[in-house]
Amino acid sequence: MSALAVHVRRKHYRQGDTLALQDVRFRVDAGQFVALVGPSGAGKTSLLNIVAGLDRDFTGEVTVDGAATPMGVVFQSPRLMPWLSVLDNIRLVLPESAGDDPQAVRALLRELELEGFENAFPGRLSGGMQRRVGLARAFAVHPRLLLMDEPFVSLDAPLARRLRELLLSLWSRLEPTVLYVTHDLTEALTLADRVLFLSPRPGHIVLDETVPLPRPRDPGGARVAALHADLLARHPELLSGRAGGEAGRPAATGTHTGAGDPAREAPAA
Amino acid sequence: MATLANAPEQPWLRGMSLAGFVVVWHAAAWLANDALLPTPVAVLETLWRHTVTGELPFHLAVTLARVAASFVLAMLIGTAIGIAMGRSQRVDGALDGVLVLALNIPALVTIILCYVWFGLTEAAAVTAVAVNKIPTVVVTVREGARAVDRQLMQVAEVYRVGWRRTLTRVYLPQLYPYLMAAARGGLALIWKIVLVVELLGRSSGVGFQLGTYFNFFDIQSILAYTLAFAGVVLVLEWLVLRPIERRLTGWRA
Repeated sequence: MSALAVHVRRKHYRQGDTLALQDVRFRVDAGQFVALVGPSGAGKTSLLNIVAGLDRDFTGEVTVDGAATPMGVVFQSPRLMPWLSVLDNIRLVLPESAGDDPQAVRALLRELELEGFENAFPGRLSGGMQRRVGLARAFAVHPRLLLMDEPFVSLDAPLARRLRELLLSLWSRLEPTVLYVTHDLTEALTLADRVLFLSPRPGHIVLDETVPLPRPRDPGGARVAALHADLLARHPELLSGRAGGEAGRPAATGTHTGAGDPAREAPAA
Repeated sequence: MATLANAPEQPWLRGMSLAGFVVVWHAAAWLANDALLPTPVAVLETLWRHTVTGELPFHLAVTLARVAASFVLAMLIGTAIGIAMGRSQRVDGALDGVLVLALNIPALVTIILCYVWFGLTEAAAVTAVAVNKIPTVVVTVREGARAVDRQLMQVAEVYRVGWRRTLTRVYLPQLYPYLMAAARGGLALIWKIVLVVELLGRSSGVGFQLGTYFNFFDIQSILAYTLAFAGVVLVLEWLVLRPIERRLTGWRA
């Protein structure tokens, strides 16, 4: 059984009839790292909110294996409680029955290079540190499923790279299933086992690509670059979210397409 | 809200202004040389006299008890209504008209009506004060409830933080600045109204005593009670409200 089965038939934006998502259907195996790539406005965050259970206003169904344990969620902004210390921010999400044993949390903080900042308030930490606390919070609950919404966006490149390495080391040790939203194809190819491409609104999956590269991968390296180039050569419309061939698309719908849409009229070879 | 908590402490400036006030008072009393404006020293003497008989401490304690009861009542009810109105547009729409009305009813009217309807009782007195204060608590807390960060509430939701913890560690901390503002303004208003309530329908408390001394034109005693009262307010502000505020907003420092 897959760790996560998503089928969103329709998701409308709160206001009006605009479709945000249409017929998004995919499964993720346990322990798999899946990146979800798409242009902004494709409904990536909407999809993540649906999977997280924050948004129940859609038609379709989401099945999470091991739903009895909480999932870890890392949001676009760190979303820490500014009035709680680093340690208390993490304790907040742990079950109360876990007792007052912060040893595991401290070990996690050490691994994320936050040792010595346990009692600091988030407002005193740099942006990169706040994100690491967010990451620690997500891993602290031992999630079977980890949802991440562009968690390292707006960080400078070396810092984002370091955080990605930390994420991968935690992931390989704790093996949660990961759904990682990004608009950056290179980031997706550096991290993921598999990349799903979402079309512009209304979002649906246009390509489902396995990443065959061994880890560790260098985001600036030749292999990632070659794969990036290869993908774009095969699917020139990819970065706008419209993969040629529309292979991954279960049902054709014409109503929302503009008349002069070349990708749709004449699929690229 | 933050400016309140972060204002630099300047105790000597505060002391200077108080000392200046006393000096001006003394000079005016000395120039007037009239029993209707006694000197600070004479007032202190009277204060001491009333204290040793036990009379002043008794009436002060009675008034304080009424203040505390009405304050707690007003904060609890006002906070509950304020949160409900801030969270739900429907509740807000339903109660907003009543709220505006309640805000504008003169305190005296509420007091008279409470005494007429419920009799000259302790409960009527406390109710009258609380009813006067509730609308302003509602307005302040509603503002806070509207400003609650949905994104932080979502964190509690996805991590399945229990409702009790969500309330005390995620929701209420966002309301604390507003609750503190409501408490501050609340105390200031309640002090004043309690005295009127006591003057009109109680036979104990600072307000009752002030009424009595007014009948005898005993300005010295009136000022002595006022001084004792003001002293208690200052002590409460320094020893209770400030430490609480510092504790609740320590993370901002």
